Amino acid sequence: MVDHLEQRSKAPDRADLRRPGGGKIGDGVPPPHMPRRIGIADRDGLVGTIMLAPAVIYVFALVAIPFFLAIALSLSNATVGDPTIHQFVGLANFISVVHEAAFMFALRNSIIITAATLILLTVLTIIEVEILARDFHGKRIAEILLILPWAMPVALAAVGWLWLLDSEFSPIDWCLRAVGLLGPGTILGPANNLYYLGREWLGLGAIVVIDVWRMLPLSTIIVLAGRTAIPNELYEQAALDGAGFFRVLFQITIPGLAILLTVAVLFTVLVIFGDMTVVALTTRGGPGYTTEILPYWAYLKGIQGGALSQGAAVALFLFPVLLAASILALRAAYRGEGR
Amino acid sequence: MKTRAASYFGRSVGFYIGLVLLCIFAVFPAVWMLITAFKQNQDLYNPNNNPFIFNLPPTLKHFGFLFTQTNYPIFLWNSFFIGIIVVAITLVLAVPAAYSLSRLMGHWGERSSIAIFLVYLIPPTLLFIPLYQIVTTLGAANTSLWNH
Repeated sequence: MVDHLEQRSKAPDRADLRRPGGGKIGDGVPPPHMPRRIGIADRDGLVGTIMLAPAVIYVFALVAIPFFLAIALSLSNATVGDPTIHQFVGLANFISVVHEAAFMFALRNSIIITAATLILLTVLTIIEVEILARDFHGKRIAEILLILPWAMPVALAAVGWLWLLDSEFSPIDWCLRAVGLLGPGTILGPANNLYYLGREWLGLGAIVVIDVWRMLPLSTIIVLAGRTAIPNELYEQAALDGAGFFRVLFQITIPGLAILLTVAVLFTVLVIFGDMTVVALTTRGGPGYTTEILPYWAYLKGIQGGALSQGAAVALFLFPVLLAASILALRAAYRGEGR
Repeated sequence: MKTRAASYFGRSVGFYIGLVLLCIFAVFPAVWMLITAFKQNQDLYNPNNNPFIFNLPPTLKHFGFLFTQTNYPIFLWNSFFIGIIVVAITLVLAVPAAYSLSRLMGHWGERSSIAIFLVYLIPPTLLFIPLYQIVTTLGAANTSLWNH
């Protein structure tokens, strides 16, 4: 009996020690069941199931069902006017959405924006982590300032940027004019404004900058946790050996951060690729369809345009990329834990 | 060959330039909104004015407009209400589930938590079209909880 109690009390600890994918799963021997009266509250599996059930049911109702409904819709001819699924039309919706110019812009831009955000974000994250890994006066204030974009709701931030990048009253344009880079007879002239959100590539650039701006705090926090875990001895040793700044950066810091950096970056892909708020509030996909992205196009097509089935078909194009990114993120995370 | 002191100085300068630029990048949109909120319209709508200083005295007119001419109190209440309900539902569902996954389910807990994480990765964008369809079918589109 004593033996049994000991086994039971140890069981949760062993569960703590196990790490997913860490290869230790098989070694947990279940406690031997001694004959004794067991109440419902003692049956971990049953209590666990009961406690887990509400969350699972909720997720199933609000994620799994809509997800399969999205697939069904994309294969049907439902519209907003008549949202019930009467008839399946096979892949007709996919074929017709792919043939639209706007879809091609949306696909291209989603990929460009995500890739550019990733590259810029990785570089800035490494710089910011290197800065915050040091001690300096006013570090607390700097941390608060740097976290600020994450504290702002996306919609509010997008409105702020919309005003910052205004076609006429942008303070950035004012600065450029003040230093003589913009305006008649200058490099960026002859117009008095750059019209950030009114041009294809400037618009895409602006969206990338906004996305980097709002994801940087999160990725910095994720990666900073890894930076503080790199043993200081490595840096001291490198300093003794006379390694320069970049040598230390590329041979100690970045390899040490690789896994958390991968997690941060892939998490960003998931957020950026599936998000439409920034585009919906700034360029609205314009001029024309040149800054359109997949989620916003799905919204315009499916809900504003009333073609539910085609909107669902567009939205489903998001899924393979997101699935691949999440599998890679999970693998990276587990590889990190397994070390 | 750089001396130790020169290299230290170079690094400090680079460090502070990086720090200041990143801080400006992080706070600039918010600061710009803050300045704008207190500026008079004539000041804002003159592209020749220095946008960073108050060329005309600051004003609280815009805040007056917000509280008297718009439905701001309703918007505030809606945000507050939705926030509270979401937090409450999340806690009620997540706390027992988390306990169950980490303490009771053992080996199955790990698998289920991966599954839950994967579900979280399906973006709302993919779900809002079918959810919209469900809401319309239930006849709840364009209604609130109170005014049908």
